[in-house]
Amino acid sequence: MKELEILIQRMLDGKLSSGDHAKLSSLLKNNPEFQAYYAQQCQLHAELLLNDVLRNSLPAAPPIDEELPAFATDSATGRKSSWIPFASMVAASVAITLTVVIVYQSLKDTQESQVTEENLIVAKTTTPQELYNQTLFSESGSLQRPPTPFVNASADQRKTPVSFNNDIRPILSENCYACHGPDAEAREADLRLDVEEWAFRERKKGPPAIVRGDPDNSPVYQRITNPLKSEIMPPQDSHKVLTPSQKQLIGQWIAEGAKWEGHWAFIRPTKPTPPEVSWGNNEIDKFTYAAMQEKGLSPNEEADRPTLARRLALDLTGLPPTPELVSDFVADKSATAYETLVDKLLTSSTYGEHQARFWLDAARYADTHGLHLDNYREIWPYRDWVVKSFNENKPFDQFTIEQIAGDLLPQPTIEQRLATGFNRCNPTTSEGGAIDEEYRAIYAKDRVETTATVFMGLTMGCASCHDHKFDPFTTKDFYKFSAFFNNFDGPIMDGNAYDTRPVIAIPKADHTEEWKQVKAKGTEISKALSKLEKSNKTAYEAWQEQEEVPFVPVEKDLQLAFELKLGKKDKESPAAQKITDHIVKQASLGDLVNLSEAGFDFDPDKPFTLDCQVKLPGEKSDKLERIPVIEQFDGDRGWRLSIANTSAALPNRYQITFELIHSLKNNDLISATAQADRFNPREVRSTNIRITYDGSRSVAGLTINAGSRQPFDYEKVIDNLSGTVATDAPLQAGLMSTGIISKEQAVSRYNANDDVDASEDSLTGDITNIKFYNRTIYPFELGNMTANKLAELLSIPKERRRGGDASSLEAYYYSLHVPEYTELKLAEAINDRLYNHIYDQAIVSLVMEEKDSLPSAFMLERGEYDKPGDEVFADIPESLGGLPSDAPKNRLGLANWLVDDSNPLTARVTVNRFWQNIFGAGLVATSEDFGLMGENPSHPELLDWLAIHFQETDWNVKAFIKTLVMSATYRQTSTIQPSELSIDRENLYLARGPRYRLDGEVLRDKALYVSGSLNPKVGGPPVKPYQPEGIWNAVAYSDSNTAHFSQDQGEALYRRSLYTFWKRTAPPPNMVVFDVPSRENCNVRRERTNTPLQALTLMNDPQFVEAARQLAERTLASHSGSTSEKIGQMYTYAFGSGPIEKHHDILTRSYDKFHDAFKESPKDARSLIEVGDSFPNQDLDPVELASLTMVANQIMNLDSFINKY
Amino acid sequence: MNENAQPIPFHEELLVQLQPRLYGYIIGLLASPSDAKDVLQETNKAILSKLDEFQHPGSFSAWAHKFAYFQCLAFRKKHERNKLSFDSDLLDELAEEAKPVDEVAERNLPLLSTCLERLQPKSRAIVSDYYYESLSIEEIAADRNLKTNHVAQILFRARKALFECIQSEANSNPI
Repeated sequence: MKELEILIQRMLDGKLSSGDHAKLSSLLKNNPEFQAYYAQQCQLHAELLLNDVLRNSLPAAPPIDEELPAFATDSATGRKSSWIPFASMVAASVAITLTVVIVYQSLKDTQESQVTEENLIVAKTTTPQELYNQTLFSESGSLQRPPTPFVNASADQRKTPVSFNNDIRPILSENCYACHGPDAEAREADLRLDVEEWAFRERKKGPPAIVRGDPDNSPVYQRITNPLKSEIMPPQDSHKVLTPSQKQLIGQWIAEGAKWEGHWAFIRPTKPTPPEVSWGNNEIDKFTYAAMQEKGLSPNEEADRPTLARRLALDLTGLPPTPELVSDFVADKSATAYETLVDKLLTSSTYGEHQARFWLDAARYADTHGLHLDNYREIWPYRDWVVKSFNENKPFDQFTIEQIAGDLLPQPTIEQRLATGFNRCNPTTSEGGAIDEEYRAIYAKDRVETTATVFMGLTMGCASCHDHKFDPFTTKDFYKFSAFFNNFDGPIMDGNAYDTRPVIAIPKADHTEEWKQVKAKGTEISKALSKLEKSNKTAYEAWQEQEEVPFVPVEKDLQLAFELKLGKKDKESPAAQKITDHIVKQASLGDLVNLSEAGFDFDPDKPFTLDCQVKLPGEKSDKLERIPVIEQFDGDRGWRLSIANTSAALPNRYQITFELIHSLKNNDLISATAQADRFNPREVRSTNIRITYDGSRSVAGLTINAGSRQPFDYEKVIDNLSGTVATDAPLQAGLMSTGIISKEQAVSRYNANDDVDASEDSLTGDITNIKFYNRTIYPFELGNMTANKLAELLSIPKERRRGGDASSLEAYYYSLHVPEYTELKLAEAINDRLYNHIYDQAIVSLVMEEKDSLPSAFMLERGEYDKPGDEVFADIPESLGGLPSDAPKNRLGLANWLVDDSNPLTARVTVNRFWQNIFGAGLVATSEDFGLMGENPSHPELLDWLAIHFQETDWNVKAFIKTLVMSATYRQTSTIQPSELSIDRENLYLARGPRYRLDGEVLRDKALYVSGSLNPKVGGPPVKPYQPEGIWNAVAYSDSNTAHFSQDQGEALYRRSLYTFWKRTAPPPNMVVFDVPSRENCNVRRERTNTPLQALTLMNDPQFVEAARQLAERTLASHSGSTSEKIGQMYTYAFGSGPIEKHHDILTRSYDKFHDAFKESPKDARSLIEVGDSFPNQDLDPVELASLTMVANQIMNLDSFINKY
Repeated sequence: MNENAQPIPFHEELLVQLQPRLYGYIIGLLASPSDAKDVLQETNKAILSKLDEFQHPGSFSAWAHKFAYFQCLAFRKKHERNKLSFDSDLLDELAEEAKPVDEVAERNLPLLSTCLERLQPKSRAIVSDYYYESLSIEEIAADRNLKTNHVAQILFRARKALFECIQSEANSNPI
């Protein structure tokens, strides 16, 4: 017992050791008596510790035993109390919560809601529960909760009629629609409360759910007010509870006649007349001012000109104003000064870049596929199209139609086809084992969600597994909508390729003409080929059906001179041996192969082809090396083939070099080095590399192919061969010392062991067959049909042959039996070489293309791809009216409908998003959801007015944005009046100008811009500015071509953030800290958080530190005045206007401090100014430059720099 | 609404008054004052956010204790690896055993001040030192020249006596 006593005290003091804990546990275990003591002790301890009533009563108690004189009064003085802070903390935490409640109450009714002293006094004699039990509850209140004043106050005071859309529908959708809404599967009692007809129609059992004017006889009202737990609605297990005021509202609404209204967003807007008020510049202000007045708010005055210039420049172009722009504006005394500035900014190409950035979030644009390997994807031309469209002020309806259905327009232009990249920006995969049908469903859902969110503000994706819970869309509607995108003519798996079909190729300027010819020729040849196939079809089929098809080798006339089989024994060798008339040698990798008996010589005057299968060894380090593949070289004469990775970060950038050398010493050789940009020998198990030479003794006669592609363009050539290259040196493959790398290195890189299959190991290379031919040959000529293979192919039933098998069989037959076929194939091969040559250097961009069939989709049960149900055809949701009967039922029909006047959504959703971009929040705060669960607009009439105005002005985006910024509402100062803050914390009613933290991209662009280093180039391939090491490696598969981040050099580091390479699984980290979306899904509204990471980034990220130095350098280069003047100038660059005196003083003082510190330690100064890739100006004093850099960094971290205000 | 309804205590206020009892309950289950403080905060947060769901009539106290119990379980689960805790059987037994204790507290706590006055003077002095002067066991022991274990014992017995007092007072003077 004594032990228990002591342990309990230790526990209460928080001093229980782990041994004590075990002891206490064992004492308590299975000992009810001790457990009871323990519980009592805890309870009493807590009571004595925390009960303030007792605390007050005790000191007044009679004196204590005199034997114990020492009383706490002196001894306790100065001691730190361990309990009181806690006791008060507990009280405080509840008190804080209470305060909020009380403040709220006092807003409603000060008198009633005061927490009376009485209650506390009463509590001494009555337990709270008793008091509570004794309390009278009003009869009209809820039985679940006493009608506390702050709940009921508003309901009783309500005088205006109840509005269905504003008051009732939100209650119903939150509490009732999950079971009595659009979802037929989940519907209970065959009752819908989201459709007027259902709510009022006669029901089998009893009266309609709602009886107009008679709440007491309306089952709906009866059920929500029913005192019985079994009867009450919403049912208890739904965990939804209606408040008394909500019930009261519903009652009142029914009593007032239960006037039904459709959901505002689904009703076509009509143009409201602006209220007549005496404030503002344009219609916008009339609406906002009326709303302000209603709330007891008054607008702020117009901001000063430097502030306006800054705000405008940031909102329209995403960049700060130049000092000249500000001073011109300040000096412009004309009445149209502001408008002039707006117009000027709207014509800048930076306008389009800034607007495009928002759009690209919505379009989930990125430069990689997003799933699995997350390889590079080329779609940046679409990004540039968006920029261009904004800059050219493409009307928004056209902008919409081209993105949704540019390819379906009559004779679409390249640009219109590029625009359809919108629907190709979705994340895709090519993971082994992924199922086409599954991903077809996933892509379709993504496209539905994106289109519905961006253009219609609807969460339609919800309806993929069940009818939408709140909005009037059924699963059928979803699949009909998805059918629009289902007719996509391309593979589901992206193949990890940069150019997943269908793509549009934009050839280099000097290829334009040739490209047209090559394509025309290609079409012509394939037409001729299919004609040929048609006419020979019967013969071909008869041939296949023979009892025994004789095997006749086709390769014969390829003049294969010599074949070296390397590595594992070829299973077919014996069979192949029989039919070959050339020499075959078997060897291992690294063997010295004597070619004297090969019957083959490298004679610079004779054509030859060298063909081999290579799998390149992976890069083990970042060190770049030339990897030898094959050579026959005596140190001065011979030939060699080698491959070099030009950059560890770009596994798909290879250089292939082939050399014919008469004398290396005399530089007497032909050497061609091809830059194989889009060739990754590591990605595939092995690649066929082929060198053909036409015997012209000129490098022009040498071509290098890899796979079926190319020939590549040469990066470097040496064209200086005078004599023979024949040598007695043996041939070696893979494992040789070349003087470039040692033999040991080579051995470690290649598969030296014949028994091991290197194909699974990404690091180990392998070389298999090497073939030498006495002529130049084209890819198709290397038919690889063998007797075994032929037999195998023919044994597969015709209908089960895969595409590749069927075509190689076909090629084999035609080559043997139809002479024209070989001619055509030859022409095709030559044409293909040209085609690939141009294509590989062209820019491509992913686009949409449509199959010929009628767009349809199968309804998937519960959204599961393997449970297809009925087939449905493309259409818009029934509740939105369906497509007009004469409209095409494809994407074009959809696109036209989206921007049709009858569509209630697109214009509203779009103007709301523009509004959000300018004002910080939309009139509908949930800009992604205009459905029933979205928020109602703060200014419904203004929203409608804007939407119609936008349509009436032919969807003119620049004009619309101008209307927004011309308003007096926009031009107010952003100063917050404390009195107004309590009324309108969120600035819903716009009685002040917008003020919020700028987006990460804007901050980075600003830093570059004010430092003078921003590279103004518009468009082009994505760039890779600074980012910390290892981020990509951490998330990427090693096989991915975006596994290593390789930072760009020079100009590319200073491009606008819009052009930063966007790897979907690892977006740019200095943007991520500023809440950029990952671009994995459509995003139309960014979160805006403020975290310490942001400050750390702005202060330390090399991009920002370097920009600070460049700002200092820019200032020092052009301004010679005092330090204080220089600081003033830096500030002017940053803000467009100079600092006020107080700020100027603070910055100057900072400078002095930095200067002192750097003078002490010049090394620190040097290391600061050396941050970044650019070199600091050597003529400047490092200490001064470093000190100014720190001040510049400070300026770029000012609140006013990182916020729009 | 009934115009004559008296101002009544709100649940929030009930919750303030319940703090000692919830704390006593939680500390018993967790055997650590600092953890108990944290869990009490979490419990308050949970209760305040679910006030709407409280169904009257019903014991608010019992409802609130349920939150405390689940918060203790959640805390225990979260800190499974890094904190000592009673095993789940014992925890359940203790929670069960706390019920009758809490019922007594629920009914008879108002008697506590009267009972306090009936404590032995020596015990009262130490209770006062400990609870209202915020002295530690060691300080009290030093001041009064006692062994620390003895002080702990006195405190234990004082609390035991107080509990028995409110229990018996209640039985003799039913309220």
